[in-house]
Amino acid sequence: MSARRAALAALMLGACTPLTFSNTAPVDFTRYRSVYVAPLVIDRYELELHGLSPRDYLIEGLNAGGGFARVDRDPGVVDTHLYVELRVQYDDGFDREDHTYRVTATFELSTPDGRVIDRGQVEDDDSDLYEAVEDALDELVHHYLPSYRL
Amino acid sequence: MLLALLIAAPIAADARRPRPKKKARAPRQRAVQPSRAAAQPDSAVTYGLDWFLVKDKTVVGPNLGFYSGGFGLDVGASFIWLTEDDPNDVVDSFVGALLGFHVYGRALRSGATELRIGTGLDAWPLFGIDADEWLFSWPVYVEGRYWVSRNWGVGAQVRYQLIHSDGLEPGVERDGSEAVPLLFMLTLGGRSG
Repeated sequence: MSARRAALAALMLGACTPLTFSNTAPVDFTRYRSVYVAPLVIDRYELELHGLSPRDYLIEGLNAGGGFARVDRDPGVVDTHLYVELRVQYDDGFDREDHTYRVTATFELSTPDGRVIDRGQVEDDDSDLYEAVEDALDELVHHYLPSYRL
Repeated sequence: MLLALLIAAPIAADARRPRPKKKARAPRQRAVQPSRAAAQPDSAVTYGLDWFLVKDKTVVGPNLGFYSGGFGLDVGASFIWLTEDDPNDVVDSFVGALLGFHVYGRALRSGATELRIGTGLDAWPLFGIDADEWLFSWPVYVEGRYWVSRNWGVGAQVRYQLIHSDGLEPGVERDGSEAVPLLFMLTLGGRSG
């Protein structure tokens, strides 16, 4: 390698600046490692999302992308319980094509003895009810992303 | 005597024949070498490959745009990989993408060189972490370009994020120590026309 090329390579390496992506999880996942997802409360609608109940869809999402090491369907020996209530609001809009479903997921994460660790709500809307429910549950999984610094 | 006449006759006849006129020579034209500045198309579709000089990450991807006169639009999609392991195993290597939507002014155009000043929106979908994990920033940048030929050039850009999402930390190391909050980029670019 010529001296010029080496100098150019050194210059480019020197020009490399850091860039960090970070997230701080709402829960300490090293302390609260497992969660039991209680049956979801859904008003009025019977839904299946890709062949799954909304509860199973949420469990699958938390398993794949959430910060909990273990996500359970049974309230056995777990560190936390997650309770979710889905409310659906239908808006007719000005004409039939404008209609939207607004889905609000209100959630609460608590210890088995009832002490609340985290609570909040996420919402999403779409002209398709299934899509709106799915997106709201995806938002909930997104809320429980693990902490990272990349 | 007869022999002398036989030899002389065609010479005399040739002397009487009207000579063809010499073609008028066209005035010699000087070859005109167009300067690079004259060769710069005033509007063009642009394309290229961007490479961001980011520590511990590879950020590279294509761009596409056009300019007309002093203004241009540019969109870019660069993909982000870690070049060292994530200690928390949140991602394997692929982190996501940087989608840039920019407008720029061609502030200086002199011969084969060009200086661009731009702004726009940078979106950072971090698909490698979660499909809903999007970060955003408002960048300003200065870019110098040198057109090696009419259609191909190289460029270098310095980008500063005026506003950015909390989770996006330009100029910050993983351990939290701070450096220059600038992003440097090299580009290999082409243009039509």
